[in-house]
Amino acid sequence: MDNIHTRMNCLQFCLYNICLKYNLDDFLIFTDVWKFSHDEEQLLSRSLAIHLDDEHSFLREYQGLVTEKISINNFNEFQMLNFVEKESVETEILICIDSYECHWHRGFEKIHIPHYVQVINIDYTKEIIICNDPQLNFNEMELPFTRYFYGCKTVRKIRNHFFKRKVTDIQRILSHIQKTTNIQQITGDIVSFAKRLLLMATKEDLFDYMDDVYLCSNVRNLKFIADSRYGLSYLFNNLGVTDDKRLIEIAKRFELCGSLFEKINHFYIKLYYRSSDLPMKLQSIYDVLIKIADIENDIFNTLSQVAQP
Amino acid sequence: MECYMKKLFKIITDLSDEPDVVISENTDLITDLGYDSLQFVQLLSDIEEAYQIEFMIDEIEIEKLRSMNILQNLIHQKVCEKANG
Repeated sequence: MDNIHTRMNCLQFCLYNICLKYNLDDFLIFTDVWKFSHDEEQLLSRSLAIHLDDEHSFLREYQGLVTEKISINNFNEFQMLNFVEKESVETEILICIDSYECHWHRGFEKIHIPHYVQVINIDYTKEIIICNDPQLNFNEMELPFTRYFYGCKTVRKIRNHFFKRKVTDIQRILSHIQKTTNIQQITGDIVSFAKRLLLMATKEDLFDYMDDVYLCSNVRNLKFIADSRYGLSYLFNNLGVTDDKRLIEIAKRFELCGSLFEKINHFYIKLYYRSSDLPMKLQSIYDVLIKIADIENDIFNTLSQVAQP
Repeated sequence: MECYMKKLFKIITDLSDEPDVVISENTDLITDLGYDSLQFVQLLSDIEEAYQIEFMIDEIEIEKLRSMNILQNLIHQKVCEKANG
């Protein structure tokens, strides 16, 4: 696998950056990422969903990194600026900005995608917020106040309470994942998405933004889903450093799922450029999705054996 | 074979963001030419179009195909398979 930071969504990447700064265990970012949601009420081209609102409870418990998520919908401009001022060096501020207002984002003035960046400073003279976008190689970007006022609805304040301790109670983490993962829902949704794919007749059925394939909902979400499996692999590899070989085996199988989802995503993108023989190509995506559903079911069964009640 | 490779080099050059690309068998499309995964998929589509071949889902593994050498061999294999029916 590549470096894990290439397999993170924007929020995870910001958290990873903070973990690096304070030398914290970054693998705990991935305790709540085993998800797959297919919404049959939506058009297929936008029927996959991802969640950017994970709780990261183990980062809090073991690393002292406490996240406060605040909706700033009803704040006035003065309050909004005041809110992103850093209170202390131990506090990090993440803002969730609409890509539509974010000039360095591919979706700028095109499409609305929630995107997390880390606040570095505020320049009141130039009326900009200086942000760090980890997905742009930690380059500092300048977000004009006006764009921030329009495009930000949520802020996360992350405080480091400096009580990092070694993760010793692995069973608690395993048990948490086992209890909070609804494997019937996940595999059921993978299968329902796969079956629905077979009914699609044209390229337009698969992509919801024809100007830029990268901005299409299913393309972005399939990438996040693949990345989450790589993240889980990273997590189990780190948990497995103790002695249980079954954890390493789970890590390997999550990595396999990540690579299969990645192949699906790349093959799906290829349909944007060449959609001849569509039924046959959709059938091959279907076959891989069914294979993944089986593997993830097996992983869950193994996890249930490893995670003692 | 030379003409065959020229065609491939042209497709790769056209898609690359680098202005003065030099391509050899040892070129790595990601580290040497700055391809991202999206450009990579576009490249595969253009190759399919140019050579009238298809990459199967199992074959789309960027980590493997990023090496010019391996990509060339796979294209060659597919073109031969197609020619032999």
